[in-house]
Amino acid sequence: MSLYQLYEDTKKVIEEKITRLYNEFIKENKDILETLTKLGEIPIGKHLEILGEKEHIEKIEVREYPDYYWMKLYGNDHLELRLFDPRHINLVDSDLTPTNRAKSTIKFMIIFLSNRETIVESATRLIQDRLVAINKLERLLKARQGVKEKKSRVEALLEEIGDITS
Amino acid sequence: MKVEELLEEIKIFRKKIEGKYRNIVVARNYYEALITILASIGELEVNKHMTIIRVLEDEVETTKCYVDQIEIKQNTMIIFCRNRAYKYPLDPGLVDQLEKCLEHVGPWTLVSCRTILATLATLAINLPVIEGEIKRVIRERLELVDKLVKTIEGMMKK
Repeated sequence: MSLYQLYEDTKKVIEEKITRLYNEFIKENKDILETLTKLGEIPIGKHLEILGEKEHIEKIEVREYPDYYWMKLYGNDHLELRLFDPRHINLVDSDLTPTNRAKSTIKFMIIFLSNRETIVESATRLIQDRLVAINKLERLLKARQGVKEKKSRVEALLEEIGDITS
Repeated sequence: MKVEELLEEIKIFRKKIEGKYRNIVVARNYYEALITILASIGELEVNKHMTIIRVLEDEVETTKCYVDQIEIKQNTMIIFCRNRAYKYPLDPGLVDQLEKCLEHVGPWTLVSCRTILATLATLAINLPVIEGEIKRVIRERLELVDKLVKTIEGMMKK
């Protein structure tokens, strides 16, 4: 095999490997990502593993754009990452290293997977908190409805009493 | 200098480097591809001895030196030896340029012939080292991605 063929083949192999990785990642985590985008800001308040370093993260935010997912981690230093769809970007630079967009995509996957459990727990807690709040609101609404009904019954009685006394 | 003298000079000059010149022209596609790869990679850690060819006024100077790295930027290749650096022009059309400048001889073309020949001859004489280092870089890049893929796949299985 010629040197140039080896170079071109290696480039293709690297591209295929990153694309396959992305597809597997999306297949496994699309549901979670979509839920996170719907929730908006998710309070974490814990140490997350950021590429081998532990860092305290206050909250995270995930958004979905046509070509990529965007994630922001709010810690001492805010970290923004994008998970690009490999079909829309160049994955490998001419020196056979991943492009900046591919690097961001890989970092996104690593950080997300390293902390998936904590993120899912935090999102679940947020959903539960919201559910509790909704239940509370519902109870308040019902109670208010009950008061209204009682009030109208009292008013009807008062009217009746008025009729008798007049 | 008369044209005849110049032609004679080039004839001598070509004779000195005949084998390499012929090999380079025959293997045109190879050299064009090699230069494209070198330009793409941009930087090559060598850490080996290389033979540096410089084509001077009337002789070809050959020096052996320990090369730390080769840097290719904007059609220029710089070979960094321990104590000094050597600069060569480098672009994929170099073999074409060499042929052209040897066909159309003039005082200025001789200078450019010398420079181009020096580049191609340096590449030619150091082919085993350069090819070896490029293959190493390609292997390392692939290994790095493999490692990364395995790590992320492992994380996904958890």
